[in-house]
Amino acid sequence: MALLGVLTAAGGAYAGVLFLGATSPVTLNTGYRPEQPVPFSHALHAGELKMDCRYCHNSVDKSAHSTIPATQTCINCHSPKSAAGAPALSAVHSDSRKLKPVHDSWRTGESIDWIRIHRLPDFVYFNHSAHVNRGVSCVTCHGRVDQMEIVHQDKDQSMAWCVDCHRHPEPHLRPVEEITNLAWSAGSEEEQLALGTKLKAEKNINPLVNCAVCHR
Amino acid sequence: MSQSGIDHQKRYFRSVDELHQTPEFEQFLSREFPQAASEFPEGVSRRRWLQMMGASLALGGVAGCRYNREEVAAFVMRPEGRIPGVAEYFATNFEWAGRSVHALVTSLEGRPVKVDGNADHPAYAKSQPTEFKDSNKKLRSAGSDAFTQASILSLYDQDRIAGCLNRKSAAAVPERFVPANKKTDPDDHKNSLKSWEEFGKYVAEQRVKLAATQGSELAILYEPTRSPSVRRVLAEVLKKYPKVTLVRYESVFSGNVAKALDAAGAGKTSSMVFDLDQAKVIVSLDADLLGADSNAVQYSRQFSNHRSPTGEWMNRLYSVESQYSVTGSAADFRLALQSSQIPFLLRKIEEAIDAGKIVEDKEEEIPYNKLKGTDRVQRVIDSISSDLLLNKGASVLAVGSHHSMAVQLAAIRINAKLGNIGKSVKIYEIENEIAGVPALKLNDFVAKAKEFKSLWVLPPNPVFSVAGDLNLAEALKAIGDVVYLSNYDDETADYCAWTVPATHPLEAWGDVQAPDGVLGIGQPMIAPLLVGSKSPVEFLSIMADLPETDGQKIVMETARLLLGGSLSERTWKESLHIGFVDGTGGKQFAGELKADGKTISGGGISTSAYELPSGEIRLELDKANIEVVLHPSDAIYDGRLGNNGWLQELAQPITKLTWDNAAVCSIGTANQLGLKQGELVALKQGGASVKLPVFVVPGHAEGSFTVNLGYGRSKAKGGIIAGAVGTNLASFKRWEQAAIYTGIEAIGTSVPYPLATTQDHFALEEGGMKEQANRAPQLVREGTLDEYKSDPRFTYNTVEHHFENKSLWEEPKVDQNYKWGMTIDLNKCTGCNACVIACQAENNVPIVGKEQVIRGREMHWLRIDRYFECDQEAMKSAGLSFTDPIDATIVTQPMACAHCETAPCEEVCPVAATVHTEEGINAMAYNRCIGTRYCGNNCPYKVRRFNYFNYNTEYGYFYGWQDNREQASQKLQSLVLNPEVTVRGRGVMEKCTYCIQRVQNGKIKSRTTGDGRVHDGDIRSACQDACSSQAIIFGDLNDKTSRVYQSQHDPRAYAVLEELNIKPRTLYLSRIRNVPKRLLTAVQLTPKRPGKSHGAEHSTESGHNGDHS
Repeated sequence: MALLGVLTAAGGAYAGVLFLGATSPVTLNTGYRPEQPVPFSHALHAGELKMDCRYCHNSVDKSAHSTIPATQTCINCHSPKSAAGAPALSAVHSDSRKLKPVHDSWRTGESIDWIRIHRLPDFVYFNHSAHVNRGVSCVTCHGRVDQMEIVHQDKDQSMAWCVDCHRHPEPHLRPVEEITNLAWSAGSEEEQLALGTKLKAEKNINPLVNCAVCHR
Repeated sequence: MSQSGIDHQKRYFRSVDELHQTPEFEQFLSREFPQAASEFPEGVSRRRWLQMMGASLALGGVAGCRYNREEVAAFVMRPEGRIPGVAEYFATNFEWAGRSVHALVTSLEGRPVKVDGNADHPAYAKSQPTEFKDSNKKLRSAGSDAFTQASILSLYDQDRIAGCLNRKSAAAVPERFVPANKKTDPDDHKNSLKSWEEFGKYVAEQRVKLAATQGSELAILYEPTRSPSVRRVLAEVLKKYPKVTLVRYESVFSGNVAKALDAAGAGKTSSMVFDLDQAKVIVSLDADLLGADSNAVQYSRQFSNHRSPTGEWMNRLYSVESQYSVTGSAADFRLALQSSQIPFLLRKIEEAIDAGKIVEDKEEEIPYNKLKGTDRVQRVIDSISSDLLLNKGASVLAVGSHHSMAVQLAAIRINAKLGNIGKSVKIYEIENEIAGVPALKLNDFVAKAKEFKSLWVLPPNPVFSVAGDLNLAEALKAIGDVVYLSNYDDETADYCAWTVPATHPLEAWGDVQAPDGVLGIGQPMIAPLLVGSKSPVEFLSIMADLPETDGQKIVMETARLLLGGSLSERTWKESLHIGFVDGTGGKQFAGELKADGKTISGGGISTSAYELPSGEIRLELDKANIEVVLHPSDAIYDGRLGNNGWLQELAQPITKLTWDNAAVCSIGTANQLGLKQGELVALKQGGASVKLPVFVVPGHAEGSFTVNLGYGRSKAKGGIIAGAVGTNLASFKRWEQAAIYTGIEAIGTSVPYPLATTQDHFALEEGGMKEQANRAPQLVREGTLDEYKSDPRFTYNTVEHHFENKSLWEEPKVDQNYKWGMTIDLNKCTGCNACVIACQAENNVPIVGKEQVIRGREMHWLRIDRYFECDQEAMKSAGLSFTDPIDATIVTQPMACAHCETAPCEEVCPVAATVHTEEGINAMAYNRCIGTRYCGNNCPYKVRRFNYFNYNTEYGYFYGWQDNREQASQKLQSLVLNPEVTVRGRGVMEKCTYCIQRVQNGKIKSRTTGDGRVHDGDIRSACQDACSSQAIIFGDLNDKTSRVYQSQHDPRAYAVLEELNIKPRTLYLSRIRNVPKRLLTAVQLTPKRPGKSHGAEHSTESGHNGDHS
């Protein structure tokens, strides 16, 4: 009898851990860092070379999707050698082995299969353009991607986390010109709050928290 | 007049079951969902199901906590201008269900997901609603019909054949060139390519034969088409091989219109189009102008432009018909008359017009509905002919295209006499036949089939649609070498050596002419999903080895020729962009018509055949003179759309019947012949007979049965959806008879047949039948134009207002920023069903199958309630009973979630899965819903739907079959889903969201690219876009200039069930019937308006009401 009691208690605890702990988005999603088919370094391109995020993710301010760039975007700089072996005029690393999947894709017309990192459930409708055009920076949801050699999920991106910002957007607002400047800072916390409050009033930013905002 | 209210004066009911209070109806009334609605359909009890599921859940464990590894296949080169996630819109045109469709297709990531009307096309642009003719372009929408809306589902039909099929003998198992264990698999390109390779070998051999014989052994079976390219290519084939025989086959016969125009001297090929924008009086004799007519979308727009009682003028629609059609339900006055008696009536109308007698329209001593028989008919004839004579040049007399030459000629003649030609009736001289090539009729071809050695078949499934006394199958068998261009492996394919996959119109280049001759190009929205599929022009040019086989070039060449020989790149691109080729319309016929029956001669037909027969008009049932009238289905046309689940499950406009055809007749006819609803009746004429379930519709003509074509495909050949649904009429149809069969014997068999009708589902239950009779006039409020003029507030006065509605609690504040609302104008709504399918396409609403519909589980978010109304008091006092013809009028009322501000559903949800937004939308969070169904129970409108199963993934599209199909097929069908809307799973409630996805996207767009505000017309709901009569208006009620605000402040606006104080955001505008005074019924003369004595305003005590109360 006692054994049964112990087993029940242990089972309950196990279930509790599974459901409350192990299924939390913080545990499940944060830090997800899959290896990509091409070892593309955001730290190099966005950080060191200071390329704007929108050079590649160019629909982020126009559409719900930020868009994974087409192979063509890579080829703009990294075009392969011609059949005769001559590198293109402005090609960077035209014979790098790391760029092989890109060059293969370019030659064959087959897509590069990137691994998706940030994934919201199908019943959640997030719109990038609604946020970046109102002064929410990439860094708010994606972290310092410009410092990531391999990109990982930085924030848990759970509903509570979304709602938190929708209720109090002030700490996360910045001038629209600075949204892709991931290193930007308003200064101290108080300064950020003051700026956020000002921007919120100026731009009439009153994010809603009803279900239909994200769930359709 | 009774003190107790209006219960027995004007009586509304929704079905005969309701009227007679059968147990079935009472079950619907007392239970929200019919009995056993929560049982598992295949005989496994609910409890057993839970046991099984419990076990599998326990075993499921926590396998795979993180989301599945997902790959993103990025473009190699992104198409120019494409922004992933942003919809693109393309204009295109195609022929569909016998009509020209001018479409604007929504394409997401290169995948077409929705088909709407193209507002820029002249067919629609010319008849823009007057109130915003010049104003904001954004307010313009074209509207469409149910067929067009559903066309997108046929594109992703999993039953389409993926490769060529080769049959060695009739009905043999075809060689599919795929491994034996596989069914159609669109992903398997290699197998499909192999079949094309084999077919290519056959074509090569066949071409040699063709060259040797000059085509003397070949026949081509085609159906009359609106595509000039198909006609041109056919002509080219004949030019190359002059000995080829063309065989013309029309599954839905309407050829008499063109023949009559020709006989009247309007040219060999011309078309007649009505301009209802100019018609103050429209007389429709058995013509379903607003429903089944191929021009219905355009007509509905024009008709609704003049339906406002406050407009410049309001049109008047008379309808005389045997069936109860959409046009009949929209009519101001309708008379039910056998189709076979329509010629008699037309003759009388013509005589009255010739006599020029105008009867003054004033209220008569005896109201119309207290008259009997001939008096009644005489009054109708007087009113119609007087109205026509008073509106010369501004009237239309239309007759059904299934009527005889004599009737067609008479209609042309009368319109000419009234001076309507060139004004409200336009005749265009356009090329619509293959120039200079005679075609065999199908019966002649079948008779001498042995003379041919090969045949190409273009019409969809002629073996199924042809009359039973014409053995086309045998003819095909005799020929042997038959090549068939088809989407499906169907009844016809059984007799064809080769069946070649056809493209869907959205996959190929094509063209189509509007009835006035304006050319529209059809551009492909997507590459053929099933590799290699051919469009008719490609198929013909390949088979005949024509120099040009590229679809685009063929279509371009046709456009060039129609433009007079030159087509610049710029014109071409512009034409594609706007959806029509400017400057291609036919010119209007300006000559003189010689439609007098006595002067026409020639062609070997005696003139008397063109004369209208005369006969006595009899409204009552004559058992010796029973007729059957065959019409193409309002849902699946002639059967070619049978495999479209949306259309099969569409509740047909009047019967609300799904998944079936039936013998529709009146209450009187059923009573006198001893027939019961749902019982099989044998309809016999000579040796031909068919057994069909009886379906009783009040107001149907006595002694007439209406039966829809297109049903009754065999289980094996009909595909997943169309198989074993309804009754095949082949055994009844006779080649020589088009649509009207007289001298019928109707014998009841007492064999019951389950019919899936949605009419009693979701009855607005208000505490019993008596109360319902009392309340129904409040749910659908209507009055006559005269009454509206004397008392514009009659809508308000329809209901007693004892005291002001007040809430006990503080009301929620739900009008912040925006205040979304909707108005539905019952005076414009025709009940055509386009909105229902549009909603289904937009919101991923699944179909559930016939059995589930019988259980009341249909999922439509938007349904169209239709109420029959019958003045029983007057009937009684005139000594009429239900065995006599009754005048039942219909009001249709689209019903969806009304987004009540104080929503009863929200109060009872234990998990707050349905809550209000700040802007007043009653939102559903599906992933929060636990499926208690309390909300559905507490909804007074009964508009909430529950997912009893995973209809979208497991049930829906392949309902009724054990699932053994390939994954790839499921992928194909899921392509139709709108990615902007969540696909709901089992156990979740759902309902109309006011197209929340469009609202959200509209708001985001206004802030990213606009001025930060949503303006009127920026956001349109899917139903609004689909409505060709502009009956649905959606918008912001905070914006006082918006159309929705203005319409909600119209005196005709009312809320359904307003006394519940739920403050619905959807309001209705009452129905106004423009009935001539002489045809007013007793109740229309003295309408009961209980609110008048209690109402806040007693403004206009009219003389009209004073005279007769």
